[in-house]
Amino acid sequence: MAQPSRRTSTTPMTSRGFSSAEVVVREGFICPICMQDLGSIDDLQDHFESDHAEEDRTLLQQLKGLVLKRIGRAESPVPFRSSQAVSSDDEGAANSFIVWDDQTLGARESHTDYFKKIRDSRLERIMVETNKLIIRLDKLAHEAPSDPKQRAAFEKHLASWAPDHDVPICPNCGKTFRRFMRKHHCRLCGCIVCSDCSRFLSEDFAERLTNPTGNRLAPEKAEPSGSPARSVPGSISSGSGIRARSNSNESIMSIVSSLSSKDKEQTIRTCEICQNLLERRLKQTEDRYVRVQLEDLHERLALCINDSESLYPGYLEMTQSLQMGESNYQLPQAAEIRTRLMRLLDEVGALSKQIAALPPTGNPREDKLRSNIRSSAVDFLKSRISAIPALPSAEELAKLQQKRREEVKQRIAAQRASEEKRKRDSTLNRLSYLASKEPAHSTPKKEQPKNPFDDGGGNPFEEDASEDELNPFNEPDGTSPPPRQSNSGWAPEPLKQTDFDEDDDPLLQQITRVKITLEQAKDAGRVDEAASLSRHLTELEDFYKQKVIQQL
Amino acid sequence: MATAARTSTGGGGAVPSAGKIFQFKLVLLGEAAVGKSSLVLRFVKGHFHDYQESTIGAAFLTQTVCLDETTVKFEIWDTAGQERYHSLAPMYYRGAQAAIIVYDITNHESFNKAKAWVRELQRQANPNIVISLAGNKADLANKRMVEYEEAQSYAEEQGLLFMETSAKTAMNVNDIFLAIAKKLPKTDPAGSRNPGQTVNVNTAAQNVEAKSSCCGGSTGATPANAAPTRT
Repeated sequence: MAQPSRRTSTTPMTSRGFSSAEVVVREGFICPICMQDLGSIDDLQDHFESDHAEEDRTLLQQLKGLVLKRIGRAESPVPFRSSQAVSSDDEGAANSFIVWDDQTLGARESHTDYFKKIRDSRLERIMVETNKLIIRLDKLAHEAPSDPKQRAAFEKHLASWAPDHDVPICPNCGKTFRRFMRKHHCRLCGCIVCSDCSRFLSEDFAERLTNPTGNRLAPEKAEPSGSPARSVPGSISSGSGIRARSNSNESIMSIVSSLSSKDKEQTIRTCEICQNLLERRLKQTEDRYVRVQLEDLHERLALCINDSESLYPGYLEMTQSLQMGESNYQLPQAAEIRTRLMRLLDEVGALSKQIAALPPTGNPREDKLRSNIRSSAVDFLKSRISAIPALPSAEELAKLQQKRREEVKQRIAAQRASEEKRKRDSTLNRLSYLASKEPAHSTPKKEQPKNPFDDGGGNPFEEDASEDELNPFNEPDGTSPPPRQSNSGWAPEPLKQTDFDEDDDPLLQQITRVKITLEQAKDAGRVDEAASLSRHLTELEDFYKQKVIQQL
Repeated sequence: MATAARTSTGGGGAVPSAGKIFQFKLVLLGEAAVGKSSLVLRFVKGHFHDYQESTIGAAFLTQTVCLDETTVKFEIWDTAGQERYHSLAPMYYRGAQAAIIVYDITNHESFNKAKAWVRELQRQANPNIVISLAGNKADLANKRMVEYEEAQSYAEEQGLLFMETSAKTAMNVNDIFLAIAKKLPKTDPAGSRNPGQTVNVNTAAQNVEAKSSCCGGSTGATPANAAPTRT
């Protein structure tokens, strides 16, 4: 961290799909206001506080906060060492910080905040470091010159390689470097490791990291220069950014080149630590976008359960209705729904089994979750399958329906009997009531005035008065007061069939009929009726005219 | 007679206690000889004839029903059931606010025909039409061919009012018309023909005209505003 990486690289962006304008990417401890590279955190802070103190207080605050978080962690002697060195520092700090008092009964202390503070800052630092690594990886993969020497210079410059003589032992495994043990520089952080501790990142890996959205390179980049040129040893002129395990050493180069019959396998040498950081980042990104199989299966399972739940009440109603012998639903219809329901339940069983049978993750909580899903699905199936009633067969249904018809007939008969009884009772009641109340007014036609349809006498009753007792408007003992009905009903006199010619056009017959009715309405002084009828007569006549015109 | 106090003497709509009068066009449809004319004659005149002539074209009758707050006047078109008059039916159901489709409970074919009428109305009639299904001749239940439940479930399915009626015994005859009267929307001003109310609107508008010098003071605007209320 203390080692400033001072670099301004110009990036030819055209090949990456951006505008052709050159974009300058600067990296290092750059003052956000005057863009001067100060070389270290402390210098930058000092510079900022002295030179830009009054310029932007909020920015200063932010920057201060950022810088303060760094302090105390970035003081590893190894230049830009990875989390390993840093984390050991942190542990030291933590050990010196937490003082375990003798615990008194019932007293407790929450260290969550402290834990979070440590954790957050560490996560942040790892993130920053990984981001730096990825920026360099991106440059290595896409911008490195193809010429081996230039490339070597580019690599050294990019990651600022540690000087060979400074590192007597491999910082990762602790082996002493001897004469025949090569020192390898990590291309990403610049540190020196032994060959056992060095790793190679594949092109694909780099691509996935630097281009996580998955859009592959623009075609001219994606296609490395024709393989014929590649097959000539020593003359590597790849258009592709990633070179085969390049090294400053020519001999290795030639070996590699000759080895690279399958030289699509292009790699970048890194140290184990950088690789771990990058792999962790890659896993994080992929976890974010990759759907877990369990989630997928569970979604389908939930869908099936929902579907079956929505089908179930309807089916239950159907079977009940069929069992009652009603004809509201058809048997095949119900059978079809039953099949669908059964299929859904089968699906629930199969999906839950599939979830339970997923390969173990090693995460006990996820395994528990799976077994819980399975057992709840099994419970659901048990409760549902036993609750799905069977359908009657066609013959059974016929019998049930027959039985139902008989029952209905009986019920109707019983209803009618009770109605008649009630009718008789009410007639008796009324007779006795009238006899007691108005003996003087009781006439032989005493029911007649109660009939609201009565024109006011002279209306001969074909049936006796009891028929009118069925009229709900006349029910004296009705629960709700009977609505009053005015005597304004009007009907024309019965027609004389002689007015009509049987073979006439129905429309002409109707016109004649309406004319007759209209005359009667006028005679009866029915203004509204006459108005409606004359309006209708006009309609009819227009209609008839149109019809005649169409026929012509 | 006690009747005099309860019924008005003719002259449509002069019912003292009822507030608004609504007029609705109602059409009776159904197969021939199911009892449409008997049903409507029972409702309008209280008559029943054992031998009712078959209808020619469509008969026109009116009857008024008093609800709690309002009075509903039905203009009833009793159509002929014979197939040769089928072509006239659309003229009657098109402008109708209500329809009674009648079938004969002793004749299953008439029930099928009723279903066909329901379909036709649902397709061709005013979408807000109140359709009711009447299973007539309920007095002949011993010859029943259409189960009450069958018709009931069909009516529920289609959202129809349903009653089994008997023109002969007057069972449910008034009830079905009353149920329709209750179900018909009473908010439509087109259905209302209370002349008193129209006058009220006009006088109210005139009052506003007289007072409303404050809003804008434009003399030309006020009559223009008042004009639509007059129609």
